[in-house]
Amino acid sequence: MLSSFAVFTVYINVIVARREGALRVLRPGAKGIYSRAFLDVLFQTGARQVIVHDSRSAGISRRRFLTTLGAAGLSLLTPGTALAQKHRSKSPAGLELATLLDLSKCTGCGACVEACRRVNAAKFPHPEGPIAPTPSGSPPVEDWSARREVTDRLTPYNWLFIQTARGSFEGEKFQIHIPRRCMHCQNPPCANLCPWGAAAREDNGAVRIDPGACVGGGKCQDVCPWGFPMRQSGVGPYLKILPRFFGNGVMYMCDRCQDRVAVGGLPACVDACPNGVQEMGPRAEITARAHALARNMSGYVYGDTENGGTNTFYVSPVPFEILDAAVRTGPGRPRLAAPADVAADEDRLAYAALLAPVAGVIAGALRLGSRFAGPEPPARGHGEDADDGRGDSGGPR
Amino acid sequence: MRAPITRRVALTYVLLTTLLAITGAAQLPLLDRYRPTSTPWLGWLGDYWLTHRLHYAGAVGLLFLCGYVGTRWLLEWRRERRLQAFGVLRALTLVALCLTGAARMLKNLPSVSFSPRATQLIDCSHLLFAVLLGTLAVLRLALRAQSWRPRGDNSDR
Repeated sequence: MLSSFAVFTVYINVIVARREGALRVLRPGAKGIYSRAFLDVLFQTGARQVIVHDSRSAGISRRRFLTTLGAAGLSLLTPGTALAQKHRSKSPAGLELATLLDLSKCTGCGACVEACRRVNAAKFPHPEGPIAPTPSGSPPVEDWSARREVTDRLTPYNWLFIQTARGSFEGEKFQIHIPRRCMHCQNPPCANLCPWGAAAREDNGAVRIDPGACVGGGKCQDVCPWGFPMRQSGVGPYLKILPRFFGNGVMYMCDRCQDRVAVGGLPACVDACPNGVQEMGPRAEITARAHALARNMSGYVYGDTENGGTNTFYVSPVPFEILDAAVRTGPGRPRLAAPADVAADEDRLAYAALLAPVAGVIAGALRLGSRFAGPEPPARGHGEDADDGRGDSGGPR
Repeated sequence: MRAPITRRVALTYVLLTTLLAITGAAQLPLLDRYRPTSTPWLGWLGDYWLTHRLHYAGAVGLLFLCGYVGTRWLLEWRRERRLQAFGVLRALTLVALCLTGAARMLKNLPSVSFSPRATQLIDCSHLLFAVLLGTLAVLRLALRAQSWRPRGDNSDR
């Protein structure tokens, strides 16, 4: 009966996944339950091969398969998920894209910064009137509206800036310019921990913050290994709720020009660079190109494994530890350290949570731990014991 | 008739739900704002990653307990007991809480993303069910409401 239920559940999920476009990735030659032949036979799907979505592997992984089915199944429970599908469909073909920056070519001319500011000017905040501080003074009011011209750090009005590292390496002096903006992590902590869902990862690998949903709590900035999101107080939905007691503005950062990429264009910074420093493409391709470029220049790659993997690859002839020590860092000026995958534990615990109720059911069916839960007490007649459904402390009964 | 679960199980449930309530509240960026994290011994509440992991760990424990107790109820205990409306309400609230939490866990996996509106729906309903579960627990203590009753007992208590 359980297996019938499981097959039925998978069937429903696959139907929903197909209808909403979630089932898109099939690996040619896949075996077992992931094979096209199996799905064809079982679900008569006529399953289509579309694209490779996860650049970490050559095709669908068990993890992606399960999470895709789970996401589709969830659509049965949450009406809002239809919105999620619409949201995701904005990315062309759902292909995970990454950018590659060859730092040996960057002259620090600032064309990318200017292009970013020009193209994204319509998205910049426009606070009106005095901004009321919170009663506790925390978080402090952050108003950059009078300092919009600042370009030497990240601000709500400057989503990309150029960091410069000077020093010597292997007896030679160097000067490396590093365009800095959101790394667009593959497993972004900002999106995972945002309590309002304002930060989200797009199917094309970009991470962005929805200014219509963000209340500026700043948790994304706290959990980002680089602290990329920047707050502008006095704007956003928090003003319509409890402006002095809840929220404090909107967090802003690079969205990798989602509106341009959605119609097949390039981010403004990539497009504007006169030296061809940047390029954008499928992550698998960019990964290979980054490592090939690093090999050719005996250089180093940053962004491939940092924080578990990002969609921004820097290639430099100088080790990034040296660059990290040489650049000016601080608020709005992120480091170039190599953060570990901060969300890895979260994923492991999520899988443990998936197994926990199953383990509980098995333990209950086998009456394992009945000494802990208590052997079935002998029925002594109603009213014989004081604990008759009211006396214990309220565990699930 | 005695409650089918021991006080150890009940205590485990209370500890887990308390842990989940505290670490869940700590996920909102309000504790820093209203300074409880600056209170001695409570600074850890301001560490989002720590409280996040503790919340997940607590959820693992609670889901196991729910699976265990639910199975024991279905296979054994319900033969001699039946849930009252209050008990059904609490059980459904707990199930809804677990489902919305699971949905949020799913959303947090690397390859899954929901729209802001879907995420807000999940988060707000998770918070709502948590508050409802706590309210029901307080009501149970205050009103001494029954969650279950021995089968065959039709007395109005």
